[in-house]
Amino acid sequence: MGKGFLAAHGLLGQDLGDLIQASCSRRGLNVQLNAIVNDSSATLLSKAYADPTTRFALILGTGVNAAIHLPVHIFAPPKFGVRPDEWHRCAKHVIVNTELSMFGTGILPSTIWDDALRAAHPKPTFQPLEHFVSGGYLGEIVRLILIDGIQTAGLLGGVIPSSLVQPYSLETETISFMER
Amino acid sequence: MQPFIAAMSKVRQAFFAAIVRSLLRTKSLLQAILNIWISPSIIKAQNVDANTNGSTNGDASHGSTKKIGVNEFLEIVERAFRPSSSRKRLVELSEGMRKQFWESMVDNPLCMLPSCNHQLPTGDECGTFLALDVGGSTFRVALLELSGRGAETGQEARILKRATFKINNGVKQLKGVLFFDWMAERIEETLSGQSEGYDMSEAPLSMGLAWSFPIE
Repeated sequence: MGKGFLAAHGLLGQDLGDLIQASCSRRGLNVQLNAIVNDSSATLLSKAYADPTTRFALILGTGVNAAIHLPVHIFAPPKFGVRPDEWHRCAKHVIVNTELSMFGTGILPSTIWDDALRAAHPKPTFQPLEHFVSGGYLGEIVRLILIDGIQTAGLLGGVIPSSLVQPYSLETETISFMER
Repeated sequence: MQPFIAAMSKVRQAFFAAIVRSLLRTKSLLQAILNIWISPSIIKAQNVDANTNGSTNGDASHGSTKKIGVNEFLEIVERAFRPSSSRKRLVELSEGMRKQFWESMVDNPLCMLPSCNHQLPTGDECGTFLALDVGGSTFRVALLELSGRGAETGQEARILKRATFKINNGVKQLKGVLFFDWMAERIEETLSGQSEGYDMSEAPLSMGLAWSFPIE
C-alpha cells in the first residue's frame, strides 16, 4: 500500500469493499458500498454525467494520471485478462486507467536539476512524467534551482535559508501561491 | 475511429500546450521568487559585477569561488528550459509519447489498464448518494443529490453536505481494520444531524468510493 499507509497490515486477501462495509455496519450506519473506482476514473465519470461529450479526465495533484474512454478494439486481447464472455459482448468502449505518470522514458527533456532530483530519488525511473508535472515534485525542482542560484550567483546573500536545506522542504503549494 | 483520432489529437495539442506554458512559467516564477527574496545588497553586488565586466567576486567568505551574476544565472535557467519547448521538440515529444501509448495497449501490464467499467453515465441516474474519496492526505465525504442531465446547468449534482478530513500520520499508522473504522466514524460524523437525504428507516444510502492508489 502506497503513500505511507499501514491499513493493508494483516488484511491481505480481504476485499476492500467488504472491509469498509463491515466497519460502517459496526457503527450502525445505514449505508451500502456499491462502487470502488480509481480517482481518475471517478473524475471522468462525474464529468461525463453532466456532459455526454466527455472522454478524457486528467488528475493534476500530488501525482498525475488520466482516465480515457477508449474503444475496446484498439487493445490487444491479453490486456483484458480473463473476463466473462458477457462482458466482451456488451463492451464496445472501456474506461482505461492510463497510469500516465509512468510514460516518457527516454523522450522527456531533462535539465541538470531534473537529473539531481532523480539521482536522490528511491525509484528514479518508475514514474518519469510525474517528476516533470506533478505537485509532488515541482516544489523540489524549484528548490534545487534556488540552491544552485544561491551557490553560484549569490542569490539570497549566498546563504541557503535553513527552511530550504531539507530535500522537499519547498512545497509546490507555496510556489503556486507565489506565482499568483 | 476517425472522429476519435481527431478528438485525441486535439487533446494532445492541449496537453502539450499546457506543458509548454508550465515550462515557460519556470523562469517567471524564479523571477517572482527573486523579487520577493532578493536583498538590496545582492542587487548592488550584481551592478558592481556588471560594471567590472563580471570579474571574480572578491567576497572573502566564499574564498576563490568564481561567481556569476543573477541575470546570468536566470539566463542559464532559461537556456535550460526553453529549447525543450520549441515546436520541433514538442512535436517529437508528442510522437514519442504516442508511440509509447500504442505500445502499452499491446502488452504493458502496468499502464493503459482497461477497467471492467465500459459504460459512461447515461445522465438519467437520479437520487441521493454518498461519495467518498481517499487520497494521500485527505478523506472527503459528500452527500449528493443527482437530478439528471436534464436539470438546469450546474444543478445536475447538488451537494447536500460535505466534509474534508486530514489523513495525518497518526491516521496513516492505523493498522488494518482500524483505518476503515476511522473512515466509518468520519462518515458518521458527516451524516450526524443530517435529515435531508439520509434516513435510517429508508433503504440503505448508496456509496461510491474513489481510491487513489493501488492496493493488493
